[in-house]
Order: sequence, then C-alpha cells, then structure tokens
Amino acid sequence: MTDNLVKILDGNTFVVSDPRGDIDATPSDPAGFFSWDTRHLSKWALSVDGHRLNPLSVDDVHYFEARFFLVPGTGTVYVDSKLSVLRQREVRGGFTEELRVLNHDDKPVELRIRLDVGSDFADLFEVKDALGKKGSYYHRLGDDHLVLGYERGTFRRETTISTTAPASIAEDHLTYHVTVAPHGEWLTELRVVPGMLRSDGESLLPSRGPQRSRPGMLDDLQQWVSDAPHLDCDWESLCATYRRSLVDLAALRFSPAVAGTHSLPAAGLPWFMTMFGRDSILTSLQALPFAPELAATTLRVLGDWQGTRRDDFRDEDPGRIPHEMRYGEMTAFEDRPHSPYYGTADATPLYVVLLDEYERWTGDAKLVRNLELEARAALDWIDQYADLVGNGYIWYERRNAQTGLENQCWKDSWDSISYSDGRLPGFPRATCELQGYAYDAKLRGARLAREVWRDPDLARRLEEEAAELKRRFNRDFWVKDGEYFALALDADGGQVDALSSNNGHLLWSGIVDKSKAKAVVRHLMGPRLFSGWGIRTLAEGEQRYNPIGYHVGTVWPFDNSFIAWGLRRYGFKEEATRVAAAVLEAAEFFEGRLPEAYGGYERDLTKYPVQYPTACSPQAWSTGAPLLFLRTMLGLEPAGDKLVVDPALPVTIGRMELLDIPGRWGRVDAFGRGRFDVGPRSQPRRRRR
Amino acid sequence: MTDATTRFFEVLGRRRHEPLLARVTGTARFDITSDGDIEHWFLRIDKGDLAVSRSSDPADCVIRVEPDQLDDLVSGKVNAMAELLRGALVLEGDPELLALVQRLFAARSTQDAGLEGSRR
Repeated sequence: MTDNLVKILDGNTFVVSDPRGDIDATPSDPAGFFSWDTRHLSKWALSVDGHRLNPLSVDDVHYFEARFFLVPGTGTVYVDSKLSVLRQREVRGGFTEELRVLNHDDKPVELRIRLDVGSDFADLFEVKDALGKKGSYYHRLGDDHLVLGYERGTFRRETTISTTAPASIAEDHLTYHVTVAPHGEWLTELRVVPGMLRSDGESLLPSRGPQRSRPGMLDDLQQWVSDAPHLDCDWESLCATYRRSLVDLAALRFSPAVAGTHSLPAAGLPWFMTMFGRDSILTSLQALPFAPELAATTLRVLGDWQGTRRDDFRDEDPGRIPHEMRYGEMTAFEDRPHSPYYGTADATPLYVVLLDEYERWTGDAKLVRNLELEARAALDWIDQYADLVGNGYIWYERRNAQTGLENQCWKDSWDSISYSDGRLPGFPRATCELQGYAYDAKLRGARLAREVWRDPDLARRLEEEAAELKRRFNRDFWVKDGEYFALALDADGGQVDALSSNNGHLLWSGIVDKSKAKAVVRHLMGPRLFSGWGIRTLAEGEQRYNPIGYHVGTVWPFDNSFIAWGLRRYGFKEEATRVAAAVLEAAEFFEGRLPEAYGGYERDLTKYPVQYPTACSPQAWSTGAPLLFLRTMLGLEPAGDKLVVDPALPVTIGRMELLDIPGRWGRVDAFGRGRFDVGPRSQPRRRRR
Repeated sequence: MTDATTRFFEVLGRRRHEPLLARVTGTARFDITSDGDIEHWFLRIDKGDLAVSRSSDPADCVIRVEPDQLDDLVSGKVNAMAELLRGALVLEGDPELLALVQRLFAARSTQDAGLEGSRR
C-alpha cells in the first residue's frame, strides 16, 4: 500500500482517514466516513490551540478499530511535547471515538481543543466520478450534539455527532476549552451515527435488533476464526497470510438490506463495499472449504434479486443474476441503474456452479431444492437471453448505453478485450471464459437435476448441450497457429486473438479438450504469461500489454487462484503448485493481505511485486485467493460423503496440516509434505513495501 | 382506489398460485394513504399459494404508499428499491419480502415475463 490511509470497517460502514486520524476529503478523494454508499463525514479534523497534530504511531488493532498516538507540533521534526493525544476509534453501527489528552507537565495547562466537522453527503459514485450535488444541506444544534443533514425531495441522510464532555457546538465545529491538571488527563467520547431516513425522520430500513457491542464483535471475530479450519505449517508467513485472510473476510462480511443478520462477502474497500454478484459468488467458492455459510447467504440473496423481466435501464432479463446493488442518492434517483443492476454475463452461470459446489461440500440438498426455480431460470437465461447472436454462445452488449457496463465479464475495463494487434472489437462480444462457465453450469445443473430435483430429462438435455458446446468451442475459439484459445469472438464470428489468462479459467471449467490442455499450460507457464509472481492478465508481446495496466498485464491473485484450480483439474499438479507458491510468496510483501492486483513485471527485474496504484485493499476475492490456493495445493475434493486429500506442496512449505475441514463428512484433517521444487524464494524481509 | 391496483390484486387473487414464490411463506400488507384515509390490500403467501384480502391485520412486511405510486409499482413503471432508497416508499418489517413480492409486479410473472416491462 502506498497511500498511508488508515481504514477500519464493519460490513458496509467504514472510515478512511490519514495517519493522524483526520479526514480532509476533496470531492474526488476516497477519505471519509461512509455508510450504505454515502459519505457521512468529509471533514473530521482535530487541532489543539490552533495546531494540527503529528502522528507518533497508528495501531489498527482489529479490522473495526484503530488507535492513533499523536503529539502537537508544527513541522516534520518531532517536538518534545508535554502533551499526548490519543484517539481510539471503532466502527460499530456508526463510529465511536475516544479522545484523550494527557498532560505530562508538572503544571496545569489550558487548552483549546477543536474538531472541525462537515459532510458533503456524496454518493460513492460521485466520489468516484467527482460529480456535484442537487439537494440542500441543513443542520441542527443541540446541547451535546450536532446534526448534519442533506435532503432532496423525500430523500434524506443525516449524521449525528454527539459528545460526552461539554463543548461549544457550531455547524462546522466542536470546541472544548479545558484545563488539564498536572499529570492529569482530559477525556471525551464522540459518537457519530449515520441516518438513512425517510421524509418523516424515521429510519428507512427496519432496525435489525440491538447494535452489537465491542465485546460482541470481538467474540464474533474469535468465533469466526475458530470455526474455520486450523492451519499449521513450516512456512510461517503462509500461516500469517491465512489468518489475515480469515480476519479480512470477517471484515468484508456484509448484511445487505434483505439478508437480515446473515452475511455475504462484499467486494472491497473503498469502492465496492456492496452486494456484487460476481465477486460474492467467486469469493464464496474460494471460501467453501473454510466458511461454507457465506455461499448459502450469497445464493439466497442473489436468488431473491434474480431478474424476472426485461428492463433495459437495468440490463435486466428473466433469470439473470444481479451484478451490483447500491444504496446511495444516485441509485435512489435513478441516475444510476443499481437498484440492482444486472449487467454481468458471468454471474448467472457461476450461480449454478456455486450451487452445485456448495452441495458437493455441505450436502445441504434442502437449499438446492429451495432454489430450484432460481437455478432453472439461470440455466434458461444462458440459452434464451445471453445468446444475442443465436449461435449457442454467451454474448454481452449493454442495453443501457448511458450508464450500463460495456464489458460484462470480470475484465471490465474499456481496453481489456483486444485483438493481438491492439484493436478493440465491436459489440456484442463473447469472451471465452463465459463459454467455459456456461459449460460447467450445464454439467453441474445436470447433476443437480438428476440427484436433487429428480428430473432426468433435464439432466440429459443439459449434458447433451454441454457436450455440443464443448465441441463447438474447441473449434471456434482455438487459435490454430498459436495453439491457445482466443480471448473472445467478435460479432462477425472472428477470433479476438490476444493471448490472455482467461485460458486458465477454461481449464477450471473443464471445457478444454484433453488434447489441447498441454499447449494451453505451456502458454500459461511460459515467459509471456508467467511473471514469476503469477500469471499476467494479458501476455507480454500483445499490443496492449502493460505491466501496470488494470486488466492488460497486471497479475490478479484471484485470477491465479482459479487458474491453479484449473491446472489441478487437468492433472498439472506441479504447475498448479508453482502458481500458488508464486502468489503466496508475493503475499509476504503485503503482510499477508494480497491486493486486488499487482504489476506484471518480471520477477527477476523487480525482486518484489509492485502494487497496482489504485487497487482496492482489502478486496474480497484477493482475500479468498490464499484459501483456494490451500485447497488446490492440498488437493481437497469432495467425493460423495468423503473428502479426498491429494497434496502437492512446494518444498518451501515443508510440512502442512489443515485441521477440522467442515463438510458433509463432518470435520476431517488434511496433511501434506513439500515435494515440488518451485524455484528460489525471494526474501521480503530485506525490502518492505 | 385506482384501476391498475385493483386489477392487479383481483388478478392475483384469482391466480391462487405463483411458482415464482414457491419458496416464500409470509404476509405483506399494502397501506394506501390518501387524504388521511388508509386502504389496505393484504397478501398471504404460503409456499407460492396466494390469498388476497382487504384485511388490516399485522403483516411480516408493511408497505406504505400513495395511490398513484402503487399503480406505478404494480404496473412496473417504477422500481420499489429506488422508491425505498428515496424515502418515497415506507417499509416496516421484512425487506426480503418486498424484494420477493416485486416479482409479482407487471412483467414479473412467469406468464408474461420478457414480453413487456419498462423500457427507457
């Protein structure tokens, strides 16, 4: 991380501040206190006698709390101060900040402590795109509190700031005139509560029971970690990465408005803290052997919101699984279609993939029966609504040309889908991995139809369609002279022939002919795609290749985790292990918290992985990547009521045990020893970020 | 009471079963407020079986709207989630039921799905 911002969060409420604990946001800056996609504080700046403070240290104790140790001082050089200031902040409902001023002198001291406050009530979309406001601001002053508000018609959002110590309160600041005794201290507790309100001032969403207490949150975190399997191995940093992943996943759990107290993984901080079809599904898949309850909630909530009609504004179709739900002003006034927005071409087949994988692990056939209608509708969507060209493939082209998404696959930036010579194809587009997901969904749907829904006719039809799809795909997408699969087909049926990491997803889905797998793997592990830190999104040598291009050259840990799973599926154990080891070694440089993406530079060149400049961190599917790597390296695979363990570990790991893996078998343990030499390791200790 | 809303609930009452709600059991009440008067439509869902009445009994999910607004909701002209976020629709109780009941609104049934709906 290069930004030095301090981020604490609980679900979709989070605070992003500087190392002093201050928030001083500009319109396009992601700092602030956010809740339900609205920035409730854009200013929160502390000063003592007119001077801002200097940080001595910051301690983000748990994902939901941080401690700032500060001293007065004016420059960069530390001033020997007789005062210390401590801010202890925790996110819980809103956030609470305990502000403590210590006098180390023998004499009493008189101080003017001032907190400047303000809120622009920006929608996250406005922060992202730096847009202006249409409503009006108001405020109310109380003896011990200040209310900041914003309204536009019936739309209302408020921030209530209250203080335990007496203060003089104005619309943009709280001031304390205090005398602190020799070796004494002064203390106030500030509480900041966001309000998502109706026009009558009541809360928009029904209360979900009492606010959790701090001990409650600690217990919950402890319970979450202890419910997950226990990892023990000789590679210490891997254990640390594993623990970090579990804790970050706990932080990213999010209860969308409809899910009651159940939670599903939100996508990431700061932009994507919301319900995301693709991200929630892929993260739930990664976490299945560790926290299967995430998958259950994801399936239920996404099922609740499954599309049931044609709506061009939202790119909705019957059976389509939503892409993204938002709760801010721009969604409320339909300046953005996220209520929810459906423009994703992969979440729908992946929904069926997750449902099947969930049942294979947990044996929870009840949920599969419950969601039969949704799963069937998802399978129907593939053939009835996604085949825009009528040739048996999933295609995408947005119908909302203003605010819909152009690229409806995971590589969703504007230049991510290109020909080898750099040209961009027109629309619609059929990217290759979508066809793999469709193939997998049909086969998995067939298994569910046969074993759970008792519909052998549907099972047979789906299997026939899958076989036919595989045959056609291996003909139409195969770039003969290059011996790999094209990134996409264009509307004329031509191959969008860039070499990309998407080939690895095809292995995961099983759509690749056995006879072609070796050539695909040669590319994935070859110098154009494999950087030494993982597999690049786009191969070196392609016209648009850029080692720090978002989807055109960076390495994505999540992408690699599914590719390694795919390599394993086709029997390339050693290669899977090499990919896993590369990314897990990179994790050491990020203190166990893998970012969304890092640079695609050659490992020999940089010696450390270069973080992509504006990557989300923590981010759900990067957090899930180490979990899926563990599954892959240990070769964990459900087989009926048994769990098969077939480890393939790098020698660097030495010995590994993963204890109490939950599933339909109850709980079982997996053991393995390192056997594969995956090359020399870099030493992160010599260089820190 | 307006025509679109009345027609909607009458058709719903005759349909008796809605496969789109096969996994749903619960009650939803629509409170239609107009000039201080309140009218009710009460919907009982039992694993997709539907029963419609004008009861004012307590429900798992209560949705308070104005007459025109409900017309627009049931005919698919406006989106319930956007209305809720804007504070224009008042919700008490279980939000999950609101998400599911939305499936009943125009072009959201199995019969006519995909044939019409709001086009912008």
